[in-house]
Amino acid sequence: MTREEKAWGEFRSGDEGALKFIFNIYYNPLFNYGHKFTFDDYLIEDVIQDTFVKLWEDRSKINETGSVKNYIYKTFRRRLIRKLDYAPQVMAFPAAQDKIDFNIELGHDHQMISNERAKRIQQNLADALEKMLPRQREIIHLRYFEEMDFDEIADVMQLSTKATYKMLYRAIDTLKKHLPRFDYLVIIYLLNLSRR
Amino acid sequence: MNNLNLPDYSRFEAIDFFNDEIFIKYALHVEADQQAYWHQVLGKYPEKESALMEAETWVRILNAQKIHKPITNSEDAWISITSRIAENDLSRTNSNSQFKRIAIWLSGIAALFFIYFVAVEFLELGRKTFQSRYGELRRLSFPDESIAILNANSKVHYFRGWSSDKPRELWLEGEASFKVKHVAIKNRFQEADSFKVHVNGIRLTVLGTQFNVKDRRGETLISLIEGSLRVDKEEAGGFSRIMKPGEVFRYDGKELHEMVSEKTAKASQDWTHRELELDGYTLQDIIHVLEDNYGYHVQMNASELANKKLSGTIPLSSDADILFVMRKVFDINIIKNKNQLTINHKTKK
Repeated sequence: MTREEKAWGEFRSGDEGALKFIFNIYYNPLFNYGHKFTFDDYLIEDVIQDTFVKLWEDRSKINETGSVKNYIYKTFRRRLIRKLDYAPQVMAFPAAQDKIDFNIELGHDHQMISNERAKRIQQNLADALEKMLPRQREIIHLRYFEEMDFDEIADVMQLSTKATYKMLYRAIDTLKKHLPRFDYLVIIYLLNLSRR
Repeated sequence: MNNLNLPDYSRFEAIDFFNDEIFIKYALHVEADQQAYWHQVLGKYPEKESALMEAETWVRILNAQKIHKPITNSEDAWISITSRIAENDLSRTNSNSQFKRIAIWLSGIAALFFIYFVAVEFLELGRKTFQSRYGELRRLSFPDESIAILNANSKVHYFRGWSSDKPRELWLEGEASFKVKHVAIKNRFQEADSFKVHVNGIRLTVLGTQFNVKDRRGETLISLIEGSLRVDKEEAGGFSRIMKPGEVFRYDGKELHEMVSEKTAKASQDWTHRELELDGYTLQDIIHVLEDNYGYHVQMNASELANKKLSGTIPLSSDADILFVMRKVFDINIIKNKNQLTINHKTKK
């Protein structure tokens, strides 16, 4: 059992210190995740606090969990989306969820030798991400940033595994369509030159 | 090194590496044995070098996103959480004082009387309950022209006087098949246009659609035939899932599962024509139907047959028909004594 799972058990039996331990692990990551949906920092802060207040109140009804991270992300996401649902009276049908944005801000790669090439790759990827639907971007984020596997992504986004596969497939397809191909040719050409 | 075990990468482009589980792991956490593996791949496919590098860069720049820091530091945030927790606890203990408790009870009772009188006497609003007996199907129509067919031994109630500014709500025990009238103006869905079914502690929300809900033995099966349906559970371990036509979900009292089985969404409504599509049903399932819909107590003395699967369609018009089919198909003896059924092997003569 990891320390985190142990803390989860202790929290459920009424140890406030254990909840604080979990809070300290997830406060920053949740904030960062929330920031992908909205730039309203106060709102994100509010929803994180709500999530933990509610966790404490419901502690006796909460089950053991396979993954603390998943449980917390899922609960936080559900609350955040409910708050963000533009007009609160509008029902959260697929159309409404699609409206909630998801922003990926790419980092820099310091391992790439040619700075210019790194910049170009970054720009291409950013352009391609721009072409995706928000929920497709979210899948990409959960997979490559949060390093979640399919079942975990499905759980957090409340989709079936099948729907998750489908959505990732579409995301990859969008990338494929929007990444310029001539880039490869140029690179291959340059590589061949350097070998000669 | 042994190259024979390598998968075929000859058609891989950067995007394929990017989507490859082993490659992602390698790009995120470079470890010695993984490095050796990809070195080997490059040895066999030297032309893939630029694709590999490109894919690796994508993974890394996605992973190296700038982390957005909270405005409040975690210590202060925790303090405001604990003070909110303490506040909530306090308001709970305060309300325990006897005076308050009595006051709340009295006002509660008064309010109930008031609501009752207002509802029943003046506005003629009230709780309306429909219940079906064992073996009986009932067709219900609601004030908004939505209809439902209530299966045997089931119950539905709602509060009369559905108005257009509130969602239509009803409560179900047992099984029913719904055909909900769409009242929303196109592209202007409002909460008030929704139709909600409360069952087994969860809530189903739809606009205009067709679906079947079966709530028996603490388990709820939701089958969506048309339209869109959202399943919500508030409180701890809650969820909010959106179903698509053809999907069947099962809620076991705790969690929601997507069903991948032979029991299709469409077949879930067969009972409304008094038929039962048997594909995927076991003898045990039919025994449950006899118990749930016809009120029998079944004593099963041939338990090794319980999981035997069936196919075909049987008429559900009467319990006698079901018993007839069971006797023939399974070659068993069924003794009927009032509402007690005993299932035995046929005694060899």
